[in-house]
Amino acid sequence: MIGGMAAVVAASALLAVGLAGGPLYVSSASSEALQIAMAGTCATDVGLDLVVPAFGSSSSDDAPALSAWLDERSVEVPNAKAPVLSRATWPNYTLRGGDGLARRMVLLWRDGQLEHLDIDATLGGTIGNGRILAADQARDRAAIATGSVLDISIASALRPMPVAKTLEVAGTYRDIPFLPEPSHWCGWRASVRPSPSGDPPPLLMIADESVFDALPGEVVYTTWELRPRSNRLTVAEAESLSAGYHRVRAEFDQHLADAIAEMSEADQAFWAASLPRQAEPRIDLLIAQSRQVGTVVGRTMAPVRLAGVAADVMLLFGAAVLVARQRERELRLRLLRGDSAVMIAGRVAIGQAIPVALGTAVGAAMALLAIVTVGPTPELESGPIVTAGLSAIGGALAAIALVGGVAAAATCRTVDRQIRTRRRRIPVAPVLAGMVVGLAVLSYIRLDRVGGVRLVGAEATGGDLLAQSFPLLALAAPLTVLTLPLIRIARRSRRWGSGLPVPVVSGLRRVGAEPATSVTIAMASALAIGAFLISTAMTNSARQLLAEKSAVYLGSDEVVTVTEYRDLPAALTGTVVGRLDVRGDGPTVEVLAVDPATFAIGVRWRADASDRSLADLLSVIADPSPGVRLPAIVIGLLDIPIDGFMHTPNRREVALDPQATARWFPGQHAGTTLVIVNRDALLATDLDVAEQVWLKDPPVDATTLLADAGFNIGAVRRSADVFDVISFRAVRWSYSALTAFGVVIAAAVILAQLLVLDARRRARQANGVLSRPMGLTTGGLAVAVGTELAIPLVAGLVVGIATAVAVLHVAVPRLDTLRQLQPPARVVIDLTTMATATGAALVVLVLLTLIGVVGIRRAQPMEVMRGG
Amino acid sequence: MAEPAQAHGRPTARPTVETRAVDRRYDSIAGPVVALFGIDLLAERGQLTVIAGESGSGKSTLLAIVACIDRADSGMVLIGDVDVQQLSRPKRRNFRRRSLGLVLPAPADNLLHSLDAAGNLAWSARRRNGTHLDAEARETQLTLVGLEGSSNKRTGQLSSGEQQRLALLCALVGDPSLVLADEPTASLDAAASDRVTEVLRAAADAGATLMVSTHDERVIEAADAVIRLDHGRRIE
Repeated sequence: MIGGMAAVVAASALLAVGLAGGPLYVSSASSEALQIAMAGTCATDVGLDLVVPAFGSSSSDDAPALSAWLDERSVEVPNAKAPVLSRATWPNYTLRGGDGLARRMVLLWRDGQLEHLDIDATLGGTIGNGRILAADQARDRAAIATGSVLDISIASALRPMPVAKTLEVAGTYRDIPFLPEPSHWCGWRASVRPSPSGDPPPLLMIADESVFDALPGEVVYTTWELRPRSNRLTVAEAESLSAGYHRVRAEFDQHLADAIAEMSEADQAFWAASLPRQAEPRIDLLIAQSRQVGTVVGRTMAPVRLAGVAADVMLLFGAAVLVARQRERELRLRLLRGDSAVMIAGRVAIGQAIPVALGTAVGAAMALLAIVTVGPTPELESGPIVTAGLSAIGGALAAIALVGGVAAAATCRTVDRQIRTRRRRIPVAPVLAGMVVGLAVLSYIRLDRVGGVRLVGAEATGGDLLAQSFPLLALAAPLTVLTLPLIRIARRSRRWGSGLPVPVVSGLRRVGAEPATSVTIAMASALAIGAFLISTAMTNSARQLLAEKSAVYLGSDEVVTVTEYRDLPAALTGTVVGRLDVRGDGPTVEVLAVDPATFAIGVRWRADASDRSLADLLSVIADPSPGVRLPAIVIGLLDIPIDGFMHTPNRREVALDPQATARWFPGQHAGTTLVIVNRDALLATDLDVAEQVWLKDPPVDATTLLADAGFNIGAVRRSADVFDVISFRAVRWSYSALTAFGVVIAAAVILAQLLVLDARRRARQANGVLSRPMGLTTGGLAVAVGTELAIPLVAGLVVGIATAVAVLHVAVPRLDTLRQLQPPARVVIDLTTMATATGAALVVLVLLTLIGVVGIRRAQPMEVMRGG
Repeated sequence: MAEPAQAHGRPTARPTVETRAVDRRYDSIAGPVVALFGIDLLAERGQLTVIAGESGSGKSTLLAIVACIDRADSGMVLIGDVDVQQLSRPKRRNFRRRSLGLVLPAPADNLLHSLDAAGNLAWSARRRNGTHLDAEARETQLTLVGLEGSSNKRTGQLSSGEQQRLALLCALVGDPSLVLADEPTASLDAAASDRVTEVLRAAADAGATLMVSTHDERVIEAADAVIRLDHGRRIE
């Protein structure tokens, strides 16, 4: 049987989990946000990208020397990779034997380039001495192939004539894909990606360093780049990296200033005006956003942490009382012999120091392990680890003092009490319930007014302490209100069940014998399952909300702007949509021209979008040649006059004939009115529309497949990119903290059940010994113990689940992070999670019953009857 | 058996114990219970005074009030010329430590089970007035109550009678001004009860002021004075 010491170990462990877990969790959430942001950001953008000027007449004079100088400085930058040097120029070229036209190209050399290119095997990897590599697309776009000779000319501000050179194409490399973007080339995406309108970039030719050595310095653009060693940095590591960036940059600026100061006055004036403007490292922005995530998560989980620590303190209180009971004879004797309460407290505290230390160590290790294994990210900052350690140690010291103090107080209650005049007792339970209900109402008002965590651009803001407390307070309020009536009911239950089997009645009577304890366990069980359910449902709802709002905003999972629509490759599922802005007497209205035949398979539709089915709605606009007025479905602000002729931006007329309405429609943006028409009907009016391909469940290389199918690709948007992922993580991790709370409370419930079993052990053993000759079998005993334990647990589960579902339906719409966007948030309850939690509760019930039965059956009858 | 009280330290002033109009009520679910009502008594110094009565007559409550582990609702409790009712808790605690030897009914409640017999004796002496008992002194003391050879026995290895004699020895060690014993023979058989009574009598003969609550006729017969209670009232 569990003793007071074990209870102290367990309670201390839970306290340490709560205290140490908080800073680790916030740190982990911050770092995860940073890591996601870094993974989604070009390494060049989060690196230090310095333009290295060439002071001399040839780039070989100064730029390499400056680069070498920077290389030396980079050694002192923590968490950075080895520097990468790039040299580029943008010449015009003419192809010998071609059409004679001069076109622009990009000529680039970059450290490690050959390792990051898929080069034609016939080349043998030999470039240099004027031999370069051309992209595969150069063959189609400019008839450039292996063996082609290019005459290049580069304009120089310092020379009267352009710099001329002849280059030979020594081989080709497979086109660098632009989605997904290869990390090595992401800093050169402008030379790889088409423009948003679909225009292809200049051809990218790869040269070796000798080509640039032979060019005058002023026509060579040299960049020195320092990248993070990994995307999986902690925020603290990123901060030290950023500090290193700024140090190197400041030293470089000073170094350039010193070099310019030694030049002639004319050169000084030239370079003062010509020094390139260096870009700010974007990592600072990501660090700020990540810290903001930490702030929001920390703020949101503050009420949960407070409640968790309060629950742990209550548990420690119970454990201390148990310790006092176990040492009652000794402590009372010491008190009778003149020991003071402080001496008693000190003695108990010293005795419990090792259990508390053990529990704290276990709890802190559990918190660390939990964060590392199931937390946001296993990479943790050293600062929060130290804070967590200090918090756990502080908690341990407080726990030791608390256990000693409570044990002393419990002992001193029995000796030399002061006689007090009888006072009117304050009804603690109703007052407490009133306070919790009052706070819940206040938090509801606050939440309704300010909302929960909000996503504003790339930032997660809000996280008002009172507003974010609503789910927890709303869960706790009915439980505290129900406590007293349930205690009365439990007390009366002693008279119930006379017709039931004896073991069941026995269990029922034990519940009724200590109604306050039974109801407390039931309410704690309700709190645990409720917190767990609310946490998982809110996380699921937030995830669903993001997916649905993204899909509604975009229309589908991926939207690719194309210049001309062709048949989709077989591997892709989607539809084609034309977009056009028109205006009548009111504000601008967006026209969405859809293909009724394929629209349904290319979008994500929701049943609550309209009272009519999608097919029914589309049937309204099914006619591809309806005449002058185009049948239309109107979504959004219905008071805008669209019934008549409207104008496109270039003053072309279009006549709309509204036939149906819907609450929302894929592709709808906040605050806009959307008009859906038949695409073929619109194109028949000869209007210019922006064509988009909407893809559902696209593979990662969807754009490559489209490009291979001949699409001229412009802007690409994916549902995952619509809303800032970092901010969403803040929301998600904010709610996940409730799961930890639920687990802590569940552990507390199990511990409380064990304490109850232990506290009633003597009476239980005596009953067991007396009942055995009367025919109570082990099975009957198990039923009795199981009934006693199951009633509060099951009652708690029912009350907790019912309360949590009600709370969710109030909280989720109000915690909508993007209230301004359709569709509204809805509650998503994962039945599997609920079933798992309920199953776990049943397993715990069986285990506790076994412990109870074994504890009774192991008792020696003679010892029990002697009271030993 | 005069030795236990005389064996340690110089003789101290033996106070008389006097109570005047002591009342004590308890609250219970069934309503207020009168545990003591208007109790006046005088326990002379150097005497064995017995508080006798049936269970529930108020004997233990009266002893607890005199022992400064409970307080009367009203009345005076004079030990010597000090009304201990008026003392602060620290002073009452100090009185219990330095001047009071107390024996509870259950033998096990009087001893620290983490210590052996000699350890309990040494601890009691140290708590009383800082006296350090060496091994020889401890053995001598134990011999006086018939526990020779039991120095190293854990309390769990002693019988109930041996435990209670050890408890009495611990209460008497350090020469307290007042010794109170609450039903010291309640859980003992006749032989063990006789031996405990002998120890009590010897202590009184040695000059200690003893108040003993009991309904054991053997102890009552050994008393110098008997005060009888019934339902919280003094009847004799």
